[in-house]
Amino acid sequence: MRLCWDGAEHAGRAVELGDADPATVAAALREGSQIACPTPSAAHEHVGVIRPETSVSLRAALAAAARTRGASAPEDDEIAALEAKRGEIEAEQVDLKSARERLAAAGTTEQELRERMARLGGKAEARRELDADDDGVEADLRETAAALSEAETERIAAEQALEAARERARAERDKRERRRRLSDRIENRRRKARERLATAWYDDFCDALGRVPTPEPVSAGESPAAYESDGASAALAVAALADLRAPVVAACGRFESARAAHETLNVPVIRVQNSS
Amino acid sequence: MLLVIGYSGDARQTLRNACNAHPETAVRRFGRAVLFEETELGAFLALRAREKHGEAVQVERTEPLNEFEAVPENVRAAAAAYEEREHASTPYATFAANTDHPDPESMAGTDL
Repeated sequence: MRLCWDGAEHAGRAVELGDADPATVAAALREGSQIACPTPSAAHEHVGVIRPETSVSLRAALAAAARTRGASAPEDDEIAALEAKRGEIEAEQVDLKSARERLAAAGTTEQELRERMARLGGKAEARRELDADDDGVEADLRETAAALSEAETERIAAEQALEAARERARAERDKRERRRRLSDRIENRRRKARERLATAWYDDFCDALGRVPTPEPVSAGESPAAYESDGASAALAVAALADLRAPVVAACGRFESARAAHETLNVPVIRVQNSS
Repeated sequence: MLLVIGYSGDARQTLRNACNAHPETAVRRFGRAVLFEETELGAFLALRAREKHGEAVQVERTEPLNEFEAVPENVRAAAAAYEEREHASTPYATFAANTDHPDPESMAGTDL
């Protein structure tokens, strides 16, 4: 890796960054800014920054580390097939809101014209009975009747448009439902795959745990569920087990130097000093 | 649509069976509730469940809400404005205080 930090240039597989903030270094790593190195792996999400208070989801971290070593799980093919299936479902947004608004407006217009018709009708009848001057009322009446008929047509069209939009929205919700069920199945298979990989690689994890510095002896037990020691030790062991090309940020205060960390973990290391 | 809710394990099982037997009538399935098409078959399935389980089955007839017809403008505007609020953690009552937006109590006391 090569990086430029606070005006100083560093290169190699073991870099000291003094009192840099671990989170800032990790963010720069993720974004590829200031640091030139391979893209961090999925395992970096778990053990990319190791602090004294680090806690890891051991199964997920161990499974990700196993995958950097080329491990695969029998569930992988099914997961890929399910993901492909999910990718084919393309849900789109149906604009029900404007259809509802159009219908409401059409209904209001129609209602107003109906009331106007009734008023004008009464007025015209009264004039006819009194033999009074038409005064344009008949013309008004014809005009309003035409407008009303137009408004009715618009209201019916708006109703049909809303009905059609609702049908489409329902079909879209069906798709979302199918996608959600597929996601549930995918997550379920992934969990199984993680469990399987973590169990299969647990002996290697225990070996790695024996190689990393720990404040006190750790007891790993027989399986991931039995691990009872601290998270930082587990994270170090996972990092030591993994085949990582992008650097790990060691801020755990357990190494004399970046070089020592690199030699123990056998991964590229950026060491930042940590008070604890 | 017809909203049918089961309030006992048996009632839920009956609803599940109905959905499995008539997937085209079951518009949507939730944990303890289903939406049936508003057809005679939908009604039949709802009523059969109610015959079997009595008041452990609730049946409601639903209709879509058109807010532009049924909801006053100030309530719609309040909902839109609250969704656009600056701080996600502001409760609505606080948000509405000292503004023209209706307070929750007055809205709760006003039927649509």
